[in-house]
Amino acid sequence: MNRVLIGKEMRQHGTWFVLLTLFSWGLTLIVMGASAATGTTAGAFANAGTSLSYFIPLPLYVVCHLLVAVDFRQKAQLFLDGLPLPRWRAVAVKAVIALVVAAAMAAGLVLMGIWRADGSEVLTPTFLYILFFSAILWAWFLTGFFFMVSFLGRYRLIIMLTIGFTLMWLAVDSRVPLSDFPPFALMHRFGFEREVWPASALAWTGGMVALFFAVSMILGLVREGSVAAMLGESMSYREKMMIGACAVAAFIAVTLWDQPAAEPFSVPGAVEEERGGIRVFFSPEDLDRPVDEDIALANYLVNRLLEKVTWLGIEPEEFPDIYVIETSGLEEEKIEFEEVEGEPVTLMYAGYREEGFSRGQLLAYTMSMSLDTYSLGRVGMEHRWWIVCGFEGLWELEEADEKTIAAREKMAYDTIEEYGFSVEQLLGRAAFRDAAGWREADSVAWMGFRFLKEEIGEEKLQELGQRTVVQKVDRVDSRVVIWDAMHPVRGTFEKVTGLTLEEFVEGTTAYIRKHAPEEIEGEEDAP
Amino acid sequence: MIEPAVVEEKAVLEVKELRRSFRSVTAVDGLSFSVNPGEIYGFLGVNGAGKTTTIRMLMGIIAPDSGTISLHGEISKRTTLKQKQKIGYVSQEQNFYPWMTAEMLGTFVGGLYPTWDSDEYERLLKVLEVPKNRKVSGLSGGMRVKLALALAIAPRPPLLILDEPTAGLDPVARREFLEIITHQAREYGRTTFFSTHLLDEVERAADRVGIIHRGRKRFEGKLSELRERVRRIELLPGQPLPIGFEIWREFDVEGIGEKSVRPVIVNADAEAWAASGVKGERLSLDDIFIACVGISTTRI
Repeated sequence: MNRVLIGKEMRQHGTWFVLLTLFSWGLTLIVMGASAATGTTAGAFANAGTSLSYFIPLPLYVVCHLLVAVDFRQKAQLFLDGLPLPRWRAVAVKAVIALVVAAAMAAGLVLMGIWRADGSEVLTPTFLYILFFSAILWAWFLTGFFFMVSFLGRYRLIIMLTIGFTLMWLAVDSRVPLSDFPPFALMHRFGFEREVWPASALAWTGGMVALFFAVSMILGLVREGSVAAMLGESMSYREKMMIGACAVAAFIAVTLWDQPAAEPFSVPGAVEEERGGIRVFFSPEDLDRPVDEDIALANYLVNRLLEKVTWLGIEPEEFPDIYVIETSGLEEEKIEFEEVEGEPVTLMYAGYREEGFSRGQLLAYTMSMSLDTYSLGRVGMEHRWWIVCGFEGLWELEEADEKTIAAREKMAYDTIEEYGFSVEQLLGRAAFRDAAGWREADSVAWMGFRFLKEEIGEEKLQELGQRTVVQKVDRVDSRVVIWDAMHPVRGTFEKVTGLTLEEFVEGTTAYIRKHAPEEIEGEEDAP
Repeated sequence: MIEPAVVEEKAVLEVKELRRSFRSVTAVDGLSFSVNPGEIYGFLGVNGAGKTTTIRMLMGIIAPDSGTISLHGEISKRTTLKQKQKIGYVSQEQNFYPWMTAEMLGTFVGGLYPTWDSDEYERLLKVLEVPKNRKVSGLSGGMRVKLALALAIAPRPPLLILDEPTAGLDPVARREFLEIITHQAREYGRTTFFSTHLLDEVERAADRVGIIHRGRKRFEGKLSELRERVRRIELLPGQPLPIGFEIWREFDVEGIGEKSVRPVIVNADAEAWAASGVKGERLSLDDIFIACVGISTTRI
């Protein structure tokens, strides 16, 4: 019976399934090729992620439309009802076919990413599992949703548009961290998450997929299919007019309400400093005030940035331009930053005339934000971010007084005492920061790099920075390996420093304890 | 669901106290009938009488609110998948996949019946002159019904259930269709249950009929028996209705005073007719049917 049903579906829609799959793959290939040619990609898997997010929803919608809506529109259900064929089985076979097509589409995109990434990405088994599971579950989520919506017949388009626009608005204009929630969390760091299983996101997404198909079954079976059959009718003229009017009204309301944001680079009267290809703009809050202080700060920043950029082996001309806008009333650090959509610049807000502002902090934060921008957002998404945080600490506290350093040392000590410090925490990217606090996590990273600097020397530290922070990964690291020993951080780190991550963590812990404030050391020694 | 159990009756299809309501509307109300092996049973009723609802319950498409259905000796509340595999079904409207050809439909439907006979299907398509490689969307209404019949017969089912199969067919196609099902029943002893509101179809093909009105059975038996039972008589003023007579339809009083008469159509068995000494006027099947689904049900 299953064979008959599968045969029927494949004969009816098989050509479409193949064409739609090739369509999604073809678009992905074009995007991968174009972005590689223009050098605007954060990696082949970032392209695959883009395709999963934007190129497969439409083909999957068409697949579900063909499998469900077309049958109901043709009233074929009335024919099937007369045959010795359970209705649930017909729906289940359609669902399985949709899931298989979706899995093939998604897996194909990942395979393309693997093909394109050879030589530039480390392809460990864990990474590949994460990629395949995330991609397929995401595709199944879309399939489940479209499959369910297809049972809503005449209302499916309007429901989908409403949900689509709401999600777009939430993602772009609202403060709701949509990308943190499953299933969007699966796509948020797709291609960047190498170590930590997105277990919660996978589980939640799987649950949603099951829920969608359960609802589909209910819609298909309830009251002898009368609901699905009724919804399968096309919309009346009155309904179309009503929905059209509502859509126009909603569009006008949103357009009036959602005024476009102000131009982010309107920095009138900005002080500009350029040195060796590094450009820095300082925009004072009060344009009538003398700009001597701004010029001095800009000079400091541009000189130090050039020094660090050169040290890391980055071409200064390729480094993002820095815009610092004076902003008073900022909290604590007196520094904030903002991502600029689609522009390779670093935008910082700083209360640089206020008490509590630190030039070292401005330099360090600007460097780390700019490195992230320079890597097209890649460094910030990957596990090597902790290395940036380590360097950031060194740069920030280069000129700090003893009191500040002692306070930061105490913070590192308190942090590891409370939360411990392990390789898992080191590679867990945001996990340690989320648990302990970002400043606390950064203080541990800083101490780790102080230890490293003393252990391996300035030269090796520089090599580590150049080979990890600046998107350079050894070719040997990029081959598919059968165990997890090789890692872009782990492998390169061990090769350059001669330390395993375990030894680094152990050394850092001992180093932090060694530099703990004396009274704490005394307490520890006490019986 | 009641577990299927073997019953003693030999009827191929037996329905007992079947009921089904759609919200406040009772479509089938305590319907009972039986269809014997090898016979053609005409299920007669006006539009909206409950014929299609009954057939949809027989096919397990909808579940009855109460009552039982016995198919091939197996009693169930709702027709099971195995039972459906022993039924050939032609619905009122032919909603085949329009992109399929007759050949593709044969492959698809054949996969659902363990007793499917591909050669018989091929033969039927040939005999019925249905082009096997033309898409369903390109077939006429008559062709589609023939195709449906071929699909229903090819599994060689012991029971055929046809829901107003000739509705929408021209007289020639209708005649042809009836000849096919009559031939099938006579030649292969295939039990056939078909619903219709057309008396001439019943007259031409059915061995027995069941008349349904407003979801209730009004008559079940042979047409000759129906003709014997239902006649027109005239009652004089004050004359009582003979014992065992049931008025099916009353007409306006004719004449004035003592010479006036009240014509009525009555239903009575042979014994009642003999005992009453009344002969009564024989009626056409049309008149009998109209009376059957018509006015009074008073029994004296």
